[in-house]
Amino acid sequence: MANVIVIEDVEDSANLAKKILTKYGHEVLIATNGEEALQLVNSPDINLILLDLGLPDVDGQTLLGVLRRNYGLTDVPIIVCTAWPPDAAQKMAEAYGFDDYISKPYKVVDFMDVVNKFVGE
Amino acid sequence: MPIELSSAANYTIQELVDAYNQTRVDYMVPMPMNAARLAEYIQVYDVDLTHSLVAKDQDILVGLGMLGLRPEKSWITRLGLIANQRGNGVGQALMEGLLKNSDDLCIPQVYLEVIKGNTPAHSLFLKLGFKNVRELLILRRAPKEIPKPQSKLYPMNRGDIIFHLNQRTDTHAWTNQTETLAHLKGISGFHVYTESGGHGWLVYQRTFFNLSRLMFDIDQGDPVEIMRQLLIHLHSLHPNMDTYTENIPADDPHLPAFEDFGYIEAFRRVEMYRFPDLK
Repeated sequence: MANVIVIEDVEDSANLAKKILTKYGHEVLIATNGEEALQLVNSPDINLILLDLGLPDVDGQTLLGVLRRNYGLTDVPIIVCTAWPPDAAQKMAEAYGFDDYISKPYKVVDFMDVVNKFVGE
Repeated sequence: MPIELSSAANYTIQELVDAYNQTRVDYMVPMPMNAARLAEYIQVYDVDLTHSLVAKDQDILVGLGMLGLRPEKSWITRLGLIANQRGNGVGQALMEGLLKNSDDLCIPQVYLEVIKGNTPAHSLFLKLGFKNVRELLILRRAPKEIPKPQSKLYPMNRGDIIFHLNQRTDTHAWTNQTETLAHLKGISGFHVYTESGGHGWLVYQRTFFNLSRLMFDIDQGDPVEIMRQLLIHLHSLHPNMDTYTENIPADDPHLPAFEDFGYIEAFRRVEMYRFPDLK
């Protein structure tokens, strides 16, 4: 079981991610914007962060940098959730140091394939 | 009951931002906002809510479009419809309403930008008389190492910044026009002079989270080399800041300098103009 923070402003997407992760035995906290995310990441024992790139108060790329540099989350895997085409997402991942990305809209199998790389089945 | 169009001024910022976010949920680049960001957007880009429109289906806001107004020009922005209202004429009705509002003010030039690849919206704009002008790049750069400067930096004060922005002779997207920059808090700028006589200047906005809105001009020396020096100084001053800059023309001769220092294209827009017959 892992502790996962889902940073996602669209309620349906956040709930779907939570439903999938909970079904596989993970504990999930949801932040709907960058400000909430910065409060949640102080929680102990975070194992994984799922980060939507489009947030209402700060974009995901910038938030990722803040989490890594200002909050010291260098060892916590961060997976980006995006509707970007794969080549654009890959390019952004290389530039910003995301650990991986999940394409939207979510497909359960693909979603868990990526999650399982970091928290195990 | 048919869809009803009304002035956006009849709604609160929170109602508008909620509607706007709903229209963008399924976009590749959703760009959601909160109320504070939309309020800033309205102020910085001279959005006139009285002439902006909301589409309503009974009690539900199903779409909106905003109109920015500046002397002799207007700008259509934040146009969006919730997914189940697309393809049934509501978008065209919103656009026609916005164009009528602009034309009623006798504005001779209407701008807009559409994300490249948004074919339904692009086709609608072409149908309504807009012409493609150019492609604009949205660039990002994650913090990374940068070489040492080989030029001298001289800071600009606000008066110097506005003076130099006004001196620019090329055409700028609405977001990058002097009127936009003049509304902003937290803009900084500097000149760079090289030993070989090169000169350029760079203006930018610094917020808590990132650097943005890079505006620049090079009046002496090799454009790429002077641009490199400007970027080296910028990122030496703010080594840990993420950078985001938008609407740089795809044929801008300074782009190789951006590529050299790790800027990547996030996405691109097509800029379009319409020159109405106001007789």
